[in-house]
Amino acid sequence: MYKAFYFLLLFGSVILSGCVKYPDQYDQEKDKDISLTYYDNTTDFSQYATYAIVDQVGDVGVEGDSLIVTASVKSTLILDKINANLASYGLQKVDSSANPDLLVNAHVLTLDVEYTSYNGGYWDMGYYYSYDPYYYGSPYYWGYGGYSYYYPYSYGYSYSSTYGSVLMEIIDSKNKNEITNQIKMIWTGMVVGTVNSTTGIDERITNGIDECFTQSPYLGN
Amino acid sequence: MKYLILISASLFCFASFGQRMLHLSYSTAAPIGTYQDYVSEYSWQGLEVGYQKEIGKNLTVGFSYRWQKFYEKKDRATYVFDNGAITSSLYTYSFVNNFNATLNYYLNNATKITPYFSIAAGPAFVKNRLVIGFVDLDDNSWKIGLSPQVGIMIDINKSFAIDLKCNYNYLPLQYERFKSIQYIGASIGIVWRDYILE
Repeated sequence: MYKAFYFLLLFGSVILSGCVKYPDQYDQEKDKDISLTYYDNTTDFSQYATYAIVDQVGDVGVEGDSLIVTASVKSTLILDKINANLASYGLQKVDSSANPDLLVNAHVLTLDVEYTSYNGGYWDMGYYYSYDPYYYGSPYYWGYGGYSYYYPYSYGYSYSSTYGSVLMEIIDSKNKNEITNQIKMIWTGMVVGTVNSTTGIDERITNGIDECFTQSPYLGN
Repeated sequence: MKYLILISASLFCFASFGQRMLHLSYSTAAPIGTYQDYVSEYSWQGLEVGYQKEIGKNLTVGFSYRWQKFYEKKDRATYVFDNGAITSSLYTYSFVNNFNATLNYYLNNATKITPYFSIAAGPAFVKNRLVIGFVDLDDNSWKIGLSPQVGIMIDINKSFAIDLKCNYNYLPLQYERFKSIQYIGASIGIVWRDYILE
């Protein structure tokens, strides 16, 4: 019987040696960045030629139970990058008073996120990141007044951390619904990552914005 | 770990009665079929432990526990879906825990090398983990697995033999991108027995 004992001892040793489940995943914080876009795939993007963009990027923060919006210190960096990408798709920037085809919004958001568990079927990204084009109640919401900020998708965070996001939106100003007084959001781009360190943050932002527009070649149709 | 201790203890107790065999193997695996879309890298991390008892001439039944880990790191890339796309690095994992009942047939052989055929089937706990950038998605489920296998036992002495085997493994799943986990396993192990199969 002692042979069986040694056999099981060997078995236990092998089990214990295999208990390290996950190797280190990331070399740098930027490796965790996500660039994500959604668009209304019923829209013919070839109909647009001009756009107007906000003067400042709103920095959305939390104060008590309320969201507050101030001008972001990254405004110039973000707006220049968005303008360069839209220009590369042949879209012309005009003043908001020139009746542009498109309105472009941009916000940054920084939040401390606590751990929340998430379970369910997975991998079918088309399901988890499904997005139905939604409408603003008024074209005047192009500014920040009354704008309710939210993510149209669900994430499961695996640990507590500080997350930073750049949210870009393109609104169809050419085809306003005059009856319901609504305009349609036709494109959303998001750059999301942890910002526990500010090292290389500008490069991460600009790379992420570039990735969002690279994902969206239909904007140049 | 609780389960492993219980399994070990059970095997030890069962080994106290009748003609029996204990085996322990180090196993590797190659993903095949659509499962390769999820993980394509060869798995070098796996093990199996089992117990068999003779029920007839050259025929044994038993049970086994088999664990296999699959892992792949995919470089930063863009993945397109119906109405958008995501650019990120991607890490995919599968942890497969099979709890099998086994039926094994050993060819009557006068040499020290004994070929055999087996069929293993039973519940399997599958943990799939997908890490997209900082987003961590887990999915755990119980499935029924099936695994036919062939192998040879090479006698070292009356009590011990080396076990070489190859198996096909199938576990049904319901994901959009792959409907099953399928892989070919290859393993080497050691067998302890209290008699020589004749």
